[in-house]
Amino acid sequence: MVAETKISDPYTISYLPRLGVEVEGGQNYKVANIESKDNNFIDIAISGSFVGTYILKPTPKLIWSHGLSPSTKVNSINVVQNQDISEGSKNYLVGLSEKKKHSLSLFKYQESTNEQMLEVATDDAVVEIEELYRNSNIVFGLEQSGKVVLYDISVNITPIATLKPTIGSEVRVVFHKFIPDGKGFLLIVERVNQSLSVRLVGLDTTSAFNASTHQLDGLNAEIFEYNDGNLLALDAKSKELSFFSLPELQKVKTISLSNVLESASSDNLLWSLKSVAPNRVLLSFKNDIYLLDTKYQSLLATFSTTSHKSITLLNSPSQVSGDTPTTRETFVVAAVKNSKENLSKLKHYTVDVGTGKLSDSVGKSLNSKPSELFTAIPFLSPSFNPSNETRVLNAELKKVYEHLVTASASKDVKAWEKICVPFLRNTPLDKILKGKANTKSIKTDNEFHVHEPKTDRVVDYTFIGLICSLIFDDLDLDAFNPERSLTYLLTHPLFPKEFTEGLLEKLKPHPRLFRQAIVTCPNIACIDLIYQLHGVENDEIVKDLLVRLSDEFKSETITQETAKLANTKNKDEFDLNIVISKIMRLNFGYEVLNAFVDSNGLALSLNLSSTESNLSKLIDQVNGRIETLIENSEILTLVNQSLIHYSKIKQSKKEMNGSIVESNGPVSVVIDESRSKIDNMLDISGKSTKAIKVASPSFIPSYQYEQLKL
Amino acid sequence: MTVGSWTFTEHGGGRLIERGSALSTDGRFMFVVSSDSLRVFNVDNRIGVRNVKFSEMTVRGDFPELDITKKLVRMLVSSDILHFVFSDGHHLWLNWKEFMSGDLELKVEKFQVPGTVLDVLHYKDEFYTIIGKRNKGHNRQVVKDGEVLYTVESVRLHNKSLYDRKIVFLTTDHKVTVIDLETNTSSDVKFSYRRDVMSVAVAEKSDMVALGTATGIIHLVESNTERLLKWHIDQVKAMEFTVDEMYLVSGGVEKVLVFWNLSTGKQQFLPRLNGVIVDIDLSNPELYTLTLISNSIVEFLVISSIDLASRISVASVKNRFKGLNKKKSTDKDVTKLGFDITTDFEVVKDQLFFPLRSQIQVYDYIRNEQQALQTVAPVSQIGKVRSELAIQDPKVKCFAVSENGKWMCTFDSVPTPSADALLSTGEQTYSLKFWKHVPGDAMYGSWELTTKIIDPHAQKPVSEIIPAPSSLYGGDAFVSVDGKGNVRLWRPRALDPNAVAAANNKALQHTEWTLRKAFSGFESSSESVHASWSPDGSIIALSHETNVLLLEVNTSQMDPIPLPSLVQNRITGLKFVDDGNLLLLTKRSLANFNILTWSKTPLNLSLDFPAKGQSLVAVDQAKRIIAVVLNYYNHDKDIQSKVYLFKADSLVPIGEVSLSKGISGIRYSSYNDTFVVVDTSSMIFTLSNKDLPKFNQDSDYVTEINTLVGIAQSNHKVLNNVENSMDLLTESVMLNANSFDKILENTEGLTVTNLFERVLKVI
Repeated sequence: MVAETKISDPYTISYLPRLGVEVEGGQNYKVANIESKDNNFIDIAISGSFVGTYILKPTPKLIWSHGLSPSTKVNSINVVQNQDISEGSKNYLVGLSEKKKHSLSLFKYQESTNEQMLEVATDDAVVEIEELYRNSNIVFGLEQSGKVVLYDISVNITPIATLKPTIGSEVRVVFHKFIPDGKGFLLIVERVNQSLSVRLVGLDTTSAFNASTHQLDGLNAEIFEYNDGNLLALDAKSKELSFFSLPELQKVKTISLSNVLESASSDNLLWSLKSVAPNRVLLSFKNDIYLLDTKYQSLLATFSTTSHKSITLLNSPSQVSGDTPTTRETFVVAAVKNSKENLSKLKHYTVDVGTGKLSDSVGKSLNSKPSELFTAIPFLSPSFNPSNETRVLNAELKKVYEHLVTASASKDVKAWEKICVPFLRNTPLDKILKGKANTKSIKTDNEFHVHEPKTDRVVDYTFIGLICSLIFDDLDLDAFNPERSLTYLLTHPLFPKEFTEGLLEKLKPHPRLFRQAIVTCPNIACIDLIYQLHGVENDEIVKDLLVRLSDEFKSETITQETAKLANTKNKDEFDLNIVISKIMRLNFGYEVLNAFVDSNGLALSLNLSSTESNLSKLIDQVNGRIETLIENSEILTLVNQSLIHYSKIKQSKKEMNGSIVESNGPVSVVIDESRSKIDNMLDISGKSTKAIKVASPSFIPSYQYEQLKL
Repeated sequence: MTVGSWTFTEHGGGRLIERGSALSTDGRFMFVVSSDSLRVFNVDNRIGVRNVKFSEMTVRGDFPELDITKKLVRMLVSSDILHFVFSDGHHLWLNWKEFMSGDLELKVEKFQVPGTVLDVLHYKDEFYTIIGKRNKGHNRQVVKDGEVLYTVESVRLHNKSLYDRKIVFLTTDHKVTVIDLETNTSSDVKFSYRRDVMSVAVAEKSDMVALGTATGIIHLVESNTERLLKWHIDQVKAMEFTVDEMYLVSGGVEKVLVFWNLSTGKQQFLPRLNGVIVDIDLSNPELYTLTLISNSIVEFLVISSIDLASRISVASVKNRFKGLNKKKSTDKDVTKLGFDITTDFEVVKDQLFFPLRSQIQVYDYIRNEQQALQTVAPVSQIGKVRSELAIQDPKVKCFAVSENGKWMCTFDSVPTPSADALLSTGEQTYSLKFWKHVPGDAMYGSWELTTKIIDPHAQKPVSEIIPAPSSLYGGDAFVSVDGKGNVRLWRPRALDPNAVAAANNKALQHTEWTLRKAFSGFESSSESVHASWSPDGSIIALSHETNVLLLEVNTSQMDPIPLPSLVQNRITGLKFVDDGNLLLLTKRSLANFNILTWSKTPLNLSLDFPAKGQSLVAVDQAKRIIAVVLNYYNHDKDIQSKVYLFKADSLVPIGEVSLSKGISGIRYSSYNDTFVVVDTSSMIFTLSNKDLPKFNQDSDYVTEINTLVGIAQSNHKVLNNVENSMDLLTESVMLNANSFDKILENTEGLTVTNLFERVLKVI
C-alpha cells in the first residue's frame, strides 16, 4: 500500500479549562518545543490555569502541573533538561505576566523532592525563552519590546547580557523563532513604527548582538513562519503566502492560496501557520487544516472538522526531514475551540508529510486554473509569429465550433458533416465554407474517413472534447446521427476518456459504430469489453472484442476484471459460461479463455462439465500443453547433462596435461558460453503458446551433438 | 519577452580533410587541417597543443577566400616551414615554430600553372606541380616555374615516390610511365594487365613499381620482371615502399595494413583499423601516417614503425545521420526535410559521446579532440570482405552516461550469424553493459566493463536507457525501457569498503549492477517507447505510442498514473522541463503538460519533425528553458536552421538564433551551463545567453548566515574590546590553497588563455 500524505487520527489529549478572559486564537495556550516526533510528553502552559505536562501514550493524561493564579497570563514556555539532573526531572521556564508585572519563572521539578521555583522580574512580557545549546545553562529571553536578555540559570536566574532594541521607537515583536542551524540565531519580525522589520540576532554565551536588519516594505502580513531558510509571510487579505530567503530577505516567490481558501477572512486570529518539514507547512483556517508543499506549490492534504469549530495549531515536533519513508510522519498539537459549546480541547493530529518529492504533488497544484476553451496550435516555421498565428487560429476554431453548435442544435446532420470531418482532416476552413455556400457544386464526401496521423490537422485535446460533448452530452442517435463524424472521432487518438464510459452500451443499436468503437476507440475499459462478450451475438464482433482484449490487456487484468464483473452482475446480465461457449464455438481467442479460467478457477472447470464434449475439449488442450512442457523440460535436462559432461571432459583433459587448471575467464563468461550454446540449439524465442515440437531426444540431428561437444 | 541575445560560440569540431595532415620532420608534432582550423598535436603525449581557426590567421599577400575543405591539395613540412598547396596554384606557408609561439601570419605565392593543380612535389627545394583534371583519362603535366617539363596522356592514376623523386603515371590503356626528377628521365614499365588497377606506387631509389588491383592482387614490377603479391581480396587503395625498400606496405577495403617483405615474400598484418586505408605515408622512417576513411569521415592514424603501436589517432566528430539533400521543387513545406539529419549523442561535462556501431567516440569539445574510442561490443578481429559482410557486427542500440560521468550503460544486440544455418538463425543476443570510468593520467582515461547482463528484458530489445538525475542515488542508476514499455531500474551494488580492503581479490572489488525495480508495461509492443526521469528523481514518465504514464519510483511496484490523451501522433520524445512540466514530442507536434496542475500549458506547437526529433529538442532544467531546433530549406534550397528558445508557460519564444547549416543535434550541458549543438558538417557550437542571470545552485543559507553572524560577532567583540576577535578571519577565507587544484588538472596542452579562463571560473 502506498503511503499517502495526510492529516489523520485526531485524538483529544485533554479538555482545556474554561478561562475567565477569553482570547481568541489559542493565545492562552503555549506549548513548549517538542524535540522529536517520538516525544511522549507535551509541556503546556495555560493562562490563568496551570503549567503542566501531559503524557501521550498509552493514554493521554496530565502527569504534573503547577497552578497559576487566574489573572496570570502565560507568554511563553520552554523546558530545559539538564543532564546532571536525574531522569524524571524537568526545568520549566515560563514567561508570565500578571497585570503590569512581567517575570521569567523557573520551575525545577523533580520526582522525589518538592518543586522549587525561581523568578526574575522583566521589563516586558517574555515571548520566547530558549536554551542556547544543551546543558549550557545559558538561556535567552526575548521580550515583547524586542529586548534580548541572556540569563545564567545554573544556580539562580542571573542576567548576563542585554541587547536593547532601537531606542525611541515603538517596537512590538510579531514573530520570533530561534533557529539552531549553524551557529544558531534568533529570527525576529517586529513592527517598528508601523513598518515591518526583520532582525537576525546572533547569540553566544556572553553576549547577544544584531547580525542584520531588513525592512519588509509594503508587506501587509501578520502571520509568519520560518521554513528551511525562508521566512514565510501570510497575508490574510490577499490570501498570499510570500517567501523571503534568509539572510538577505529577498522575495523568492509568492503562492496564492485563493484556489484553496475560497471564503477566507482577513481576521488574523482565525489563521495559524506551522512548519512541519522542509518545504512543507501546515496552515489552519477556521475548521480546516491544510498541508502545503511550498516547493511544488501544491496542496498535499486537508483535514476538516465540523464547521463551528476553530483550530489553532500550537506546536509540532521540530521539523522532520520528510525525505524518506521513515521520516515522513510527525504530529501537530492544536487547540480546537468549539464555539457552540464554548469548549476547547487540546488535540493531537498525526501528519504524514510525505517525502517532499514531485510524486507527492502530482495533480495537486495550488495554481490550477481552467484551461482555455480554444487553444490553437500554431505551426513552427522559420517565420514563426505566435501571437498573430494564435489569434487567427483561435478565431478559426471558434468559428468551426459555432457552426457545429448550430448544426447540433438544429439536428442538421448535413451541416455538421460538411464541416466536422473535413476541418479535422486539414481542409482549409474557407474552402469548406465556400463549399457550404454553394452546396450543389461540391460533391458530398460520401466516404467514411479514419484518423490519419500523418496528414490530419493537429488539434488540441480540448477541442476534440468540445466536439464530442456536442454529440455525446445527450446522445440520441436516432435524432442526430452524424455517422461519418462519429466514425472519424472513434478513430481519433484524442477521443476523450470520459466519453468512453458506457460508450459501447450506447452504440450497441448501431452495429457499424459499435464495431468501430470496439476496434479503434482508445481508452475503452477492459470491463466494458468483457461485458459486451456476453450480450453480442454477431460472431465477427465477438472476434473483434476478443482481439482487442488480447491485444491491449494483460491476462491478469482480464482475470481481475472478469472476477469483478462476475461478482457484481447477476447471471442474466453476465454469464461467463455463455462467453466461454462462444469462444469454444468460434474456436478463437483461447488466450482470453485462459484468463477466464483463472478468474473462476476450479469452479469454472466443473461448471463446464455440464457439457461433456466441452470438458473433454478443454482437457485435451490442457493435456497437450502439459505434454509439450514435459518434452521441453526433458530436452533441457539433456542439454544440461551434456554440458556438464562436456565440462567434465574439458577438466579431465586439463588435469591430464598436468598444468594447474585455471579458468580461462570469469564464471560469467563460462555461463555465457553455455547459455549461447543452448540458445543456438533451441528456438525458445517463439511465441509462448507455441511449444517446441520435438517429439523425443533421439530426433535431434547428429550435428547438434557435435555442436555440444565442440 | 526577449532577454539579451543568444549567441553561438564555435568550438571547432568539423571534418578532417583527406591530404590535410603532415608530420614535423622530427616527428614530434603533427599538423592537421579541419574544415575551419589548423590543429597541432604533440605526438609524444598524444594531445592537441594548438588549435587556430583560419579566420584568426592573417595572410600577407594577395589571397582570395579559399574553401580549404575542397581545394587543399597537399600539406607538407620542410624543416621549419609548413606548406599548403591549393588546386588553383596558391601556395601558403608559415614557420610552424613561430606559429606555435603565437605568430599567426601566413605567406602566400602563386605557382604559374596552366590548369588545376592535382598534386605537388617538393624535391631538392623545388616545387613541381602536377596539372590535369581529376577525372580519369586526361593528360597530366609536370610543371616547374610555369614550364611544362613532361606531359603524359590519358592518365588514370599517378603517385609519387617516398621523397618525391619519382612520379608514376598509369594511363587508361594500362601503360605505366615513371618520371625521375633526379635524372630528368622518363621511362615506361610493362606489366600484364588483368584487372583494373586501383593504386600505384614507385620506389624512390630502385626501379620497383607496384600496382594494386581491384581484386586485391598486387603486381610488383622490378627490372621488367613481374611478381604477384596475393593476400588482399578486395580493392587495394594505397601502397608505399619503405625507406629501405625492403618492404611494400599496402592497404585497402579490408581495413588491414599489410607489410610485404619483398625478399622473403612473407606478410605481416595490422588488422582492424577504423576505416578503409586510402593513403599511406612512410616518409618518416619512425612514424607511419595512415589516412583512413569510414562513412566518408576521415581519420589519421600515426603508428610506430618499430612495434606498429598506435602513437596518435586524430579523428573528427563522428556524428552520423542519414544524409543531406537539397530541396526538391515539389516540397511545399520548407521545414520537412528529405532526409533525417539528426544524430544521436550525449554530453557529459566537456565530453560528447557519439555512438558508432560497436564503438562509442568520446570527443572533448573544449579541447576539440577525440579522447577515446571505446569498443563496447565485441567485433570480429579482422576486416570483413564480400560474403563475410553478411556476418553482422553487434551494434550499440542505445546508451547513456550518468550525469556525474562515472558510469556508462550500453545496450547492444548481436545477431546470430546466418552462415551457420542454426535453429537460432534470426535470433538476437541482447546485452546490457555497465561501464565504469577509469581516469587516466594525462588522458581522458577509459571505460571498464563491470557488469554484463544478457537479455536484460528477456527477448525484447531495450529501446531507451536513461540515467538517473543526480538528485537520486547521486546519479548512480539507470533505467532501461523496452518496446512493451517494461521498465527496469538498475543500480550498482554497494560495496562494503572493509570487505574490499580485506579481500585482495580484484574480482571482489568489482561493482556489480543489479536489477532493483521493475514495472511491467503494456501488452502490445511499439517502436516508440520513451522515458524521462524527473529532475528530483521521484517520477519516471513513460510513453508508449500516444499514451503516457507517470511511474512513482519510490514505490516498490512503481505505481503508474496515466496521463490523459494529449497528442494524436505517437510520441517520439519525452522530456521533463523541470519538476512540473513534461514536454511531449511527436513528429507533428510539441506539447507541454504540467503534472502539478494537471493541464496543458500554452506551449503547444505543431511542426514537422523527423522520427528522431528528440535530438532536436534540449532542456535546460535549471533555468527551465526549452531549445527547439528547426531545420529548413532556404531560398537557395539549402538546409539552414534556427534555434527557438521557449519557456514552458509561453508560446512566445524568449529568443531565437540562426545558423547557416543544418543542425543534427542539440543537448544541454549542465556542467558548462550551455546548449551544445552539432551541425551537419560536424562543427560543434555552444549556445548561451550571457545576459541571462546564471542559475544559482541552491545556495546554502546556513553558511551564509554563519558568515553573517560571525561578522556581527566579531564586530560586537571589537566594539566591546573582547579578545579573540581574530578568529573570524580564518573562517571567512574563501579562496585557499586547494581552490586552484582543479584548474591544474589536465593542463597539458592547455593554452594560457584557457588556463586564465579556468582561474577566473574559480574566482
